[in-house]
Amino acid sequence: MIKKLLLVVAALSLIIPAAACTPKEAETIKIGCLLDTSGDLAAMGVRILDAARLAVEDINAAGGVLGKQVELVEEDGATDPAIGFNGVKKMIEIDGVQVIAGPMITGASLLSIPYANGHKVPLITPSATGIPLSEEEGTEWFFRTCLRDDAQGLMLADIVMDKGYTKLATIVLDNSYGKGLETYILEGLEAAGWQGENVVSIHYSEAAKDYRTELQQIADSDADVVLAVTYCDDGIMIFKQALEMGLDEIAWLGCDGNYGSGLFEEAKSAEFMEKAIVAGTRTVGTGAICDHFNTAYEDKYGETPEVYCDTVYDAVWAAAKAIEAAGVYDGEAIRVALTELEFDGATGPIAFNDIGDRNAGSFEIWQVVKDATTTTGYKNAPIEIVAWSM
Amino acid sequence: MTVNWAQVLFNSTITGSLYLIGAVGLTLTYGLSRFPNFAHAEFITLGAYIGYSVAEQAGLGFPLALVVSFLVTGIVGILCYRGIFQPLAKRGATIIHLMVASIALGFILRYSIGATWTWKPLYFTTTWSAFNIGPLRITGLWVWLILTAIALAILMHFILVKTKIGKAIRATSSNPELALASGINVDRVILITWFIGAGLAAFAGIFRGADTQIWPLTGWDIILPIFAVTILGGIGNFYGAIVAAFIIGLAENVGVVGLIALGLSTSYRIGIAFLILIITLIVRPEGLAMLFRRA
Repeated sequence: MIKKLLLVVAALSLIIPAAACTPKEAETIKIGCLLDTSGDLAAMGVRILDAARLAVEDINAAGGVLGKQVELVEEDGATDPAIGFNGVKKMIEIDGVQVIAGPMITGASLLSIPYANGHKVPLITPSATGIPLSEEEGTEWFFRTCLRDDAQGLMLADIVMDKGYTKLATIVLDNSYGKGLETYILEGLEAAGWQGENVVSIHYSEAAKDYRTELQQIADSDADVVLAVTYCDDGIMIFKQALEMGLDEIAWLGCDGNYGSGLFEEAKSAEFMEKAIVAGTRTVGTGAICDHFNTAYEDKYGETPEVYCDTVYDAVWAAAKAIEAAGVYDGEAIRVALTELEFDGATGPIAFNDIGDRNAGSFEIWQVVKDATTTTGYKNAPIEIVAWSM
Repeated sequence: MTVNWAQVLFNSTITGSLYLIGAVGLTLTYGLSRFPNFAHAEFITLGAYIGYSVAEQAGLGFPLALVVSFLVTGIVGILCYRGIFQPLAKRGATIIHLMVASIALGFILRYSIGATWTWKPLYFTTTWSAFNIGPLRITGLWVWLILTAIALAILMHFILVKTKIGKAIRATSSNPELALASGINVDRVILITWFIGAGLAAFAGIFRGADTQIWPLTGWDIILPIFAVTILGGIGNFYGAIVAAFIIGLAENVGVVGLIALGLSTSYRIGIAFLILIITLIVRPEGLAMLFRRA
């Protein structure tokens, strides 16, 4: 008798947790969101997350998706590929999300793509710009609302050609983003018949914090222009030390990674950027939805949206529209819907080509100016908007 | 491209000065208490934050920040020794136990610092004048850093050789039992050493913080080269540490020039200190200590 009872108890103990795991009808539609709200891109990431939340609010205000409200499942990638990948795994395995806005950085995306493939969950990045993400095998589950590094590299090459620089120094992050942008500016320059030379090429680690000797190599190289491909915290160190070393007498070029008010939080970094950076690039939007987004963001958060806030807004909307078009909350169907999707977003008309990239968009050429109304006393200001298409 | 070697040498001196200030405390406590204190990294970090609080949040300026930070971190050093390492050692803890305890203490301090000041990087706003002397680019901060290291070297030499406490430190370091038998208050000597060691770590933290940024891993970022200095210089050997600090500073900076020339990432910079550490342990485990027998 006791044996039987024990058996029943044992059987029950197996059944009960199993029963608890049976999926019940979900009350919300989950959209995963992997952004880097800590680490070197924290200043950028928290603003991007705000924009993603704004998109969810707007989607829900417009009636949600499939008759349900949308819920944003947020994970922090900590500007670290491995942590970002873990976040993606957690969202897919534990939270059961079927589409993710993110990852934010190329490294985390490279790690996550094979996994997302295996689990049939599409990823829509707002900001990972590396080329291999859409050109290597098995990347059909990867979409992006930002423009790629090769487009930005060409844009930067145009600036070098226009201004007639001939001695280019490069100081770039030692990762796929930094080295990618360096490669594409050089390819762009070569294609344009540039007569100049890449006088010194420095690949640095964002962990080093001290770049004095690296910067000394730029000073010794007699460069007339320097391309800096950095994130925020490391960018601050480089610009601060560059100012101390008097490198503001050379012209510097910035990029999307060092756009934003995060870099002005250190006074010397801000001073250097204002003095030395002649032009930087970043993707930017135009049109009615863009205006709506800018106003709504400013009303809600009390500051103007910064780089990749608009692309994440579009990424979350793309996810929502694809779920609606698919008619079911299922990764495979959402992926198919994404390939056929066309809509007007905050960054202009959005459609993905057969490798999940956008065929057109626009870049802003920016600089840093003094502005006493901001808390840091500096802000980014557009020089011009350039339309770009493949 | 012609490399400005004078500047590279000068940069090496800056790096070496920082490592020396950071390593003195580590090598002395290592020599006396006979275990590597990994929480030394967090003494550096704590010093940087206290310095920041005094100089920036309270607005009392850089020199006072150094003094307050030295005292506070020094006291924390004493408390850590009295509260954790001494009781453990008395209960027969081996070097491994003490080392693991120090790693744990480091984690506790690091995350407490993160909880207190947040993980967002902080920056000193003090502006230093920058000027050129011949081929050299120099800022006020770097001059201060180098002068502090030189002053420290002279002062420590004087303390170790001329004063009673210095002689007691050396005696305890080379043979604690004999020192005890000769009537030296070993306990007091160790406490003073922990105080000075942690206090100097605070100096390193402030200089590193002013040169770069302050965040909860400020000390951890530079603890590997500091350990390399300690081991290359010979554990517990102050004079060895001076030479080792400049060797490692030079190796790192010349290494950066070499890495760039070879088209390699300067991420390997930290690897250079590590390489020297490994080679020293294989070839000459006693470090440079033999060169300074008298010490």
